[in-house]
This record gives sequence, structure tokens and C-alpha cells, in this order.
Amino acid sequence: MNATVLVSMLATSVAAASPLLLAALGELVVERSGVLNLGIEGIMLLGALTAVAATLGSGSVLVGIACAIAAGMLLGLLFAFLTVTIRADHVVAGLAMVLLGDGLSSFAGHGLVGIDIGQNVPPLALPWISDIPALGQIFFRQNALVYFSYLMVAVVWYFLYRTRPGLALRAAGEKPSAVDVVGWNVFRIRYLAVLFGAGMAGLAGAFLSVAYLSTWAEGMTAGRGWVALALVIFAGWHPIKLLGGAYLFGFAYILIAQSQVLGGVFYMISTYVMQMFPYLMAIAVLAVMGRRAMKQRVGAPEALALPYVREER
Amino acid sequence: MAIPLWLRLPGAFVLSVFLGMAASSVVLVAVHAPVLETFRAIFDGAVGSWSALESSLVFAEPIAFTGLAAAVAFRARVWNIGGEGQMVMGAFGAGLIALNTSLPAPLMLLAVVACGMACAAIWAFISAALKVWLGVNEVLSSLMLNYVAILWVQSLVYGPWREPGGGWPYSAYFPDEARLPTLGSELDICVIFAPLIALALSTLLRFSRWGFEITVVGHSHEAARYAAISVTRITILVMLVSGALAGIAGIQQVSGSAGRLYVLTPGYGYLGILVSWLAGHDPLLVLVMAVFYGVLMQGGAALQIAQIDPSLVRIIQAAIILFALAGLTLARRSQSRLHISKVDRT
Amino acid sequence: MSQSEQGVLLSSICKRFGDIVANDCVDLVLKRGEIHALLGENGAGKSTAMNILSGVYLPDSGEIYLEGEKVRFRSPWDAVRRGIGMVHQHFQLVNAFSVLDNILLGATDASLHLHRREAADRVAAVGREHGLHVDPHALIWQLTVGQRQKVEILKLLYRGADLLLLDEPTSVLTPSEASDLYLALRRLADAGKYVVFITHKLHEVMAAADRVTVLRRGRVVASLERSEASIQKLGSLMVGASMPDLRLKGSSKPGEIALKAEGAQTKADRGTSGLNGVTLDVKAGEILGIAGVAGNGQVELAECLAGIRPLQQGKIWLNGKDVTGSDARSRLRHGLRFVPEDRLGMGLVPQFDIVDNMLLRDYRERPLAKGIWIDRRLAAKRAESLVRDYDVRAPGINTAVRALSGGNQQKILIGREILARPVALVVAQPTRGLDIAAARAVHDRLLHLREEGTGIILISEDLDEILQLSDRVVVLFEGTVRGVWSRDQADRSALGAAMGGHLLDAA
Repeated sequence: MNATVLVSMLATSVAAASPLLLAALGELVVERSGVLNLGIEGIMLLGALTAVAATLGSGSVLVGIACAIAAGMLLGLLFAFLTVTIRADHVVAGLAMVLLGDGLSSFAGHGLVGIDIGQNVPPLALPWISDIPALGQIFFRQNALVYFSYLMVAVVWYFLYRTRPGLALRAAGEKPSAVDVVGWNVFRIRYLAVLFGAGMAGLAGAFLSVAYLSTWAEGMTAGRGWVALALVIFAGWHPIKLLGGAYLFGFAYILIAQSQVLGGVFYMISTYVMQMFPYLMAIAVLAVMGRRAMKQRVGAPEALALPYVREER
Repeated sequence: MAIPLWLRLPGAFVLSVFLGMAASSVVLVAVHAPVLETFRAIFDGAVGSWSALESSLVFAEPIAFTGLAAAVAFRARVWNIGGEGQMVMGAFGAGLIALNTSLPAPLMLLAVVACGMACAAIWAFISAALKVWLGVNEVLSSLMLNYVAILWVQSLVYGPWREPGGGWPYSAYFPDEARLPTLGSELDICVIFAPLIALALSTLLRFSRWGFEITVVGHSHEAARYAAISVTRITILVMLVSGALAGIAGIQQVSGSAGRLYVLTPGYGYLGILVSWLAGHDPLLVLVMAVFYGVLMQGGAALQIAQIDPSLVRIIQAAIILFALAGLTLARRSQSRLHISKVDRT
Repeated sequence: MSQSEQGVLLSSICKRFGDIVANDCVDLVLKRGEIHALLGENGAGKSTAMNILSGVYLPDSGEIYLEGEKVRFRSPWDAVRRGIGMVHQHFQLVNAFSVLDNILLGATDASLHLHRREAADRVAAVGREHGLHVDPHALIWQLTVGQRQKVEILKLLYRGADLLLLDEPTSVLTPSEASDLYLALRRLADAGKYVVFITHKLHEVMAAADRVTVLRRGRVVASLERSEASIQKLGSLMVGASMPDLRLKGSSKPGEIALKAEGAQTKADRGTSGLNGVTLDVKAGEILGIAGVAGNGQVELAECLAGIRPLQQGKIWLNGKDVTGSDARSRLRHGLRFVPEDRLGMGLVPQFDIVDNMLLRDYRERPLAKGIWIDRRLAAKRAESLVRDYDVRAPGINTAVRALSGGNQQKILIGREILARPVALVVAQPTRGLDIAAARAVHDRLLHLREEGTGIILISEDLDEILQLSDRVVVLFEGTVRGVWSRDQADRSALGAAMGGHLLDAA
């Protein structure tokens, strides 16, 4: 493998990683606020379908993407209502979301399978920086949504660690009673976090169907929603590590694709082992974190998946 | 509200079913599909005839086992989300014996079942060990292990165990001695074992020492400590049993209907969790809910034959579950609140 | 009462929760620069009054005046904005965050961006000003309980709180940390703040307060300067009578040693002292009272004796037999029973009904156990007779225990443990949170048991209870036994001193 091939593989990795990055960034914010949304896979599917359908209907990819985000947020609203207001079990609600998203997208997408929408989000080379050797090609000759994902990492990082509402959000995931006592509304924080996360998941789905490819296929997310969950754990709920992890996983995806081309039984097995990689890494991270439980520098938010009840006045 | 206590939960459930169907009708109307015909097709295809019922039960079988698996674990408040992976490992274990050894008749089947349950239990043990000794959240660890298990079996079925010359990724057929005895045209004996096991679990949970210990651990770790019950021991025990039960679901699918190892239909493990939740984690109710769900799934298959998009039934399932989630949560909460306030007045 | 321009005034505050009157026309006058103690037993209404002042509860009637101005708080945030801050018993801190972030979380600035550097400087300055030194960048989980409390106080000071309320602040501190706290409070008061703390500990009032208001059953019974008060006086104001009469009738003849511990040592939980070599014994037919402020090893002692906590060093004998290596179950079989202080968290399963709670400790023993099965019918019979004998108010034996009142819960707990007359009984804080009648009933049971020949170890923070019931008294301080007194010798000052760590010459 020579340098050019490697560079082009890395460039494709970035593109492959971006839907993971977007969905995982969203879920990171959600989990940091104390909610566990296992339904990402379903929301991504619905987003993917909505993007295709809306693009075909309106003729504009931009509208398609906007509708995908909106669709994601609608499911997010439902999920937030169930988990934050009704205080139903997060796990069951999330699994139900997967069912709903999967069912809705398959059903509504019945007639759209395989249709080429004829346009997608074209790659956009940024002036000057795209001419940097290697790095330029890898990072700065991508489509607009990939650049958006770079931006979102910075935005999420800044929001969580450098702003007051971000501090409150993180506190809501660790000790919601402490947040309530100082005048923030834990319910509102969680609702907004869930809407954000669901919108990002919808966007991630749209990325798959109108940026990465230009078509809808049933179940096209192929488990990426679950990988996004693994990614959040692997990154220790931190946005910068998430970036690195996403590209690592993206690279693994590309390697898998390449090795399939090479064929043979040996490569078949190692393909699957590589696909296991994100999940095994997540477990390893959990185990290490567990052992260092006293050093709570990297830990699941304390109040994750615990519904919050406010005492009466 | 004046609804008597005993009516609240079943009432909430029935109401959710109707609301779910109503909501799905809205979707149907939106795409100009015939509402009544669709529901009629589901009904007929699922319960309209003996063979339809049989097919529904075929769907219900694995869900019953994964549901029982979830119920046992959740009773101890060990959140085993890994039913999916444990089921798959059960199938793997079955295949391990069936495809690689040749044992005489009764021994083979026993070995297949034993190995399947053992592999599944070991898989569950990993999450248990991580939880007990490293404090790892079992929701996350069991969830991740699901995909590792699925990919493991995929690698075998696409790779070294693949049936040569076959287009589809299947293993070779299991030898007859490794197949589960059948009952009727489609069902296998698991359909008898499921209620037996459910009954056994229900009895043990309610009346035996272990059941008591499990329930105490599920309610309060401190009380368990006071009662000299080892939370560690119970957690591991419960995960092993839960894993083994989920493993039976996997064994049933490969040694039963299919007769060979393949990539199992995804979702039965998760459906087990949903079903157990609906049933309030009561083993006997789990059976009822599993049959209910089997009916829904068979209805979906029937739709396909009737030329209607089967993914519709997934929407109906989701709608019912979402309404049930909201309704049962509220009903259960009001029930316990009512219970308490009633006493204060004495 | 005239409304002075200086001072905070609660006037005729009333608050009920359902049928319970928590505050009944409470008047409270707070002065700047003064450390004011609110004294009362559990349930006297102190926390309620403070919660009203800090905006957590809305009073049913009555007014609050801040330096002459009438105010009405609709939420805790209103009170915060007026400079009132409360440090709760259970800290509202995020363990994973730094001190600085916790303080910033509660700050009242409106800016979006967190200016951490300026804030850190300000935190350090505020800390220096009031003698509360904490590293702003330390993470909460790394700090001791005493340091965390300082963070809570800093939180209030950072946002300019003028009136500081502390709810049972020393309940989680070691005695040395408590003295540090008193110094800090003194400094704060000298700096011109209002300082109020809630307590039920008499010695604390005498040690730290300038003025004390005593509440009993929701009413103010007295308001005194420290110079006018004494432990004796405060004690009687708090419980409503002078020294409680001894309840022991006649002496039972103590028999052989029922339970004995020698050199018991075990690790400390967070916030407590652990056991550092405890030696004591109780004879059959005798009550040994173990007095002491919470956090000096009481929980560990009880659990080690009962066998549910491992001893690092030392030995335990039950009826002359060495049971150090035996687990809780075998000790139970040999007649050692245990009533823990955490009634609902440990002694009972709140969601279980009375029948299943009867099974909690004995489900493996005959006759409740039959092979692998549990005999619920027998348990139900036992439940029924318990309910009868102890006059437990419950709709039925299948009621969830959490639906019952504290007194009834305690009856079930104790009743279960003493069903078969135990050889030795370890009982901790048996009347905490109970009303007078229920407490009396519990005491009667214990005395009855004593007459039947059980050796009882009574662990209690309530000195009156200890003095009323015990044949002998020891004091537990920082994990060791300080002094042994017989019934006749025991007096409050000696005991109080020992509880505070001072050893007077024992008689």
C-alpha cells in the first residue's frame, strides 16, 4: 500500500465516519443530560428516508436535509415525552423507537427503494487549505455536511465545557437535584438535549442517503446507530475523544470494505472481527473505566437513565 | 379515578392495543391503504385458522424464552439487555456440537441443548463479571456484547462453517439426532417446554428460597446485606439463568424450525425485553404477551401474502408498545400511590 | 413584636402537611453577626421553618420580614436572590465536577460564557476572606466530607449570601471537623452575616451558638441567649420535662456474658471513624447503652456484632462461643438478633408486605424453610400474631410496609427480631423519628426483653433514652470506648464530655 492509496483511504474514512460522528455527538449530549436513547438506529432510518422523499418531492437536497432533521426531532419529541414527562423506562422506550423508526421508514419508503435521487451533496474543496499535502485531501475536500460535523464538534465542546447552560446540562446528568436547587429546569434541559440528539441522528441518516449515497434502501443504516452508541462509550462521553474515535471506526469500516474486495476465507473472518472492533473497544473502555471508578475522570454520567422526580413544594 | 385496582393494568393494556391500532389506521389512511381489509388480513392470517395459530406460536416460541430470560434478570434489577447476543450464542453452541461431533441419538440432542445453554450462560456471565468486579454498567456491556456475538456467528456462517456450494450463508443441516422433535407441522417441543418453564420459574420465584433472595436483591441491596444474601452471588446466578434461557431461544431456532445454523433474525432478544416489560416481568404473563406478539408477527407475515407491505405490522407493534409504555407506566404508578394513600387514612 | 430595621423576622409562620402541623405560629428573630441555633428533636419543625425561610416551602400563613421589608418567596430562587442560602444535610454537589464548577453552577450571573479564571480568583478571595480554604480545581469526589461542606458554604458566599442556614451541619462530620466548622461560623458571624444552624445536639448549641430558639412539636417554647442556657435547661425545654425518670423497675439479676467484643477493629465508611479497638460486653438480662454522636463507629459496631460486616481485627463471643469467623446467619441461629438503625433501607423491604418482611431474615431456617421452599402460611400466622400483640395499625398483613407509619414499621421490625427470645439483641436508634407513644411502646418491649434474660446492646444518639433504659453505659468516640458507667454513676455532664472526646475521671 503506497502513500496515495493510504491518503485516499483516509479521506474516504472521514466521509464514512461522519454519519457516526453526527449521530454520536447528538447522543453524547443526550446522555450527558441523563437520558439514554437507544433509539438512534430507528431515528437515523427515518431521517434517511425523509431526506430522500423530501428531496424528490421538492427537488432540493437542502430541503431534504431540513426535513430529515425535523423528522428526527419529531421522534425525539415523542421519546422525550415518554422518558422525561411520563418517566417511562429509557431502555424500553428506546427499543420501541427503533421499532417505530424502522417500521415507519420501511413502510413509507416502500415505493422509493433504489430510486436514484439524481443529486446529492457534492464535495466542496475549501480554498487554500485543501491544497495542503495529505491533510488537505483528507479533511478539506469533503462535502458540506462533513465540514458541518467538524463545526459541531467544536460547538458541542464549547457548549458543554465553556458555557453556563452546558454546565447545567452536564450537572443534570450527574445530579439533577443539584441543578433543580439552583433554579434550572431539569425537564426543559433534558427535552432540549433529546431534541438536539434526535435532530442530529436524523441528519446522520440524511447524510447516508443523500450525501454518501443518493438513494434509499431498507435498513440502510446497517447498525450504525448501535455503533454510535458504542462510540459514545468509547469516547468516555467527551466530544474531542469522540472525534478521534469516530475516525478510528470510520477507518475500520473502510478497511472492512477493502478486505472484502480481496476475498477469501481468511479475509472473511477478519472482516467480522474488524466489525466487532467498535463494540470490543467500547467494552474494554468500560472495563478500564470501571477499574478506575474512583478516578471519576471518565465515567458514565451518574444519573444516566434514571428518571428525575421533583419533590413537592 | 374510580377504576378498581385490579382492572387498571389489564385495562391500560387493552386500551393501548386499541389506541395503537387506531394510530396505525391513521398511517394507513394517509397512504390510501384499506384499513379494515388490512386488519382483517392480519386477524385471519394470525388466528383465523389452526395453521395460522400454529404459525403464530412458532413466532412466539423464541420470544417467550427471551422474555423469560429478561423477566428473571429484571426481577433482581439486573438489566440484561444482552438477550439478543445470548440467544445467538445459544445457537452457536448448538451448532458447535451438532456440526462437529457425531454422538448417538438421545445423547446428541442433550449435548446440543447443554452446550447451547452453556455458551449462552457464559456470554451472560461476562456482563455479570464486569458488573460485579469492575462496576461496569450491565446495560452498556450486554448491549455491546450483542453485536460481538452476532458478528461472531456471522463470521462462522459466512466462513468456515458455510455450506459449500450454497448461495446463502447457512451451515450444513444438523444431523437428525440434533434436531428438536416436532409437534404438528411446524412446532417443536419447545412449545410445551415454554409454559412448563414459565410455570417452574413462577413457582420458584414466588415460593422458593432463591426466588425470595432474588426478589430481595431486586428491591434493596442493603436489605439483602442485612439478610445475609450475597448480592454478588445472586447477580451472577440470575445472569447465568437469564443467559441460558435466552440461549434456548437460539437453540430452538436452529435445532428446531431451521435445522441449521444461520444468522438469526435480529430482534428477538430485544422483543423479549419489551414483552417482559409489558408483562411486568411476571413469567406467566410473559407467555401471554409472547403469544400476543407472535400473533402480531404472524399477522405481518400474512400481510405479505395479501400483497400489503409487511413493515406496516412493525408500525402497529411500535404504536401498541409506545401506548402501552405510557399507559402501563402511569397505571402502575397510580396503583402504588393509591395503595399507599389508602392506608394513611386508617 | 416590633419589626426592627435590623434583623430577619419570621412572624406567626404556620405550615401543615396533610394532618401534620409542622409549624404552629412560629416566631423567629435573627440578628446580624449572631450565630443562632434552632434546637429541637426530630420532627419538631426546625427543618420546615428553615425551608420556608429559604423558599423551598410556602407558608400557609404568616410573614417574613428581611430588615423591615416584607418578602414573599415563590421559589428557592427568590430567596437566593435576596441573599439567603441554605446548606442542606445531603450536599447538592456534583461529584465529578471541580469545586469551581460546582460553585459556578449555583452562581447568579447571567452570562453565557463561563469565565473560569476570574471566577477561580474570586473563589480564592472569598475563601481567604472567610477562612475557608479549598482548592478551586479539586474534584469533589477527592475531598473529605468536611471539605465538601466548606464548598457548600463557599457556594453561598460566592453569590453574596447574607443569611446562611445550615441543616444539621455536624451530622456528617467528625468531631475535629465540627470544631473547624464552629470556627468558620464564628468568622462568618463576625464578618456581619446572619448564621443559623439547625441541630438536635445540646452540646453543639452550648459550643457554637450565641442565641438559641427551642422548638417542640412545631411551636417555639423558648428563645435564650447562650449565657442564660445550660445543657440541663435546654434538654428539658427540648423534651418538655426535666430529667426523664429512670424506667428500670427493680434490678434484674444479670447472668452470664451474652455478647462480648474484644479489640474490634474495622475500616471506616466515608465520613465516619470506623472501629479502632472496641472492647465491651453485655450480660444476659442487662441493657448496655452505647452513647455517642453519630459517626463515631455506631453503624460499624452494630454491623460487626451482627456479622454483616467483616472485622479486620478482634474477636466476638456469643454466649461464650467464639463467633468471630461465623457469618450473620449462623450468629442468628445461635440467638443473636439485630435491629438496624436504617429501618426502611435495611431492616425492612419497603415494597414487601408484612408477611414477606417476616421472612426476611429467617427464610432459610426451620420452620419457615421447608427444603428449598418457603412456608408463607406460617409466616402469615406469625405476622398476624405480631400485629395483634404489638397493636400494629395496618389494613392487613398484606399491606406494603412502606405504607405504614414509622412507629408501626418499627414495631414490625423489632417484633420480628425478638420473636424467639434472643440470647443477645443489638438495637440501634430504635426510636428515631417516632412519636412519644410509639417510643414508649418500644422501650416497654426492650425492658420486657431484659427481664426475660436477653442481653441487649442499645446504641442511641438520644442520651435520654440511654439514661432511661441502661444498666450500664459506655460512650463510643472515634471508634473506641470511652468510659464505662453504671446506672447510678452516669450523669449527663460526664457522658456529654466523653461524647465530646474529653475524659473526665470516671467514678
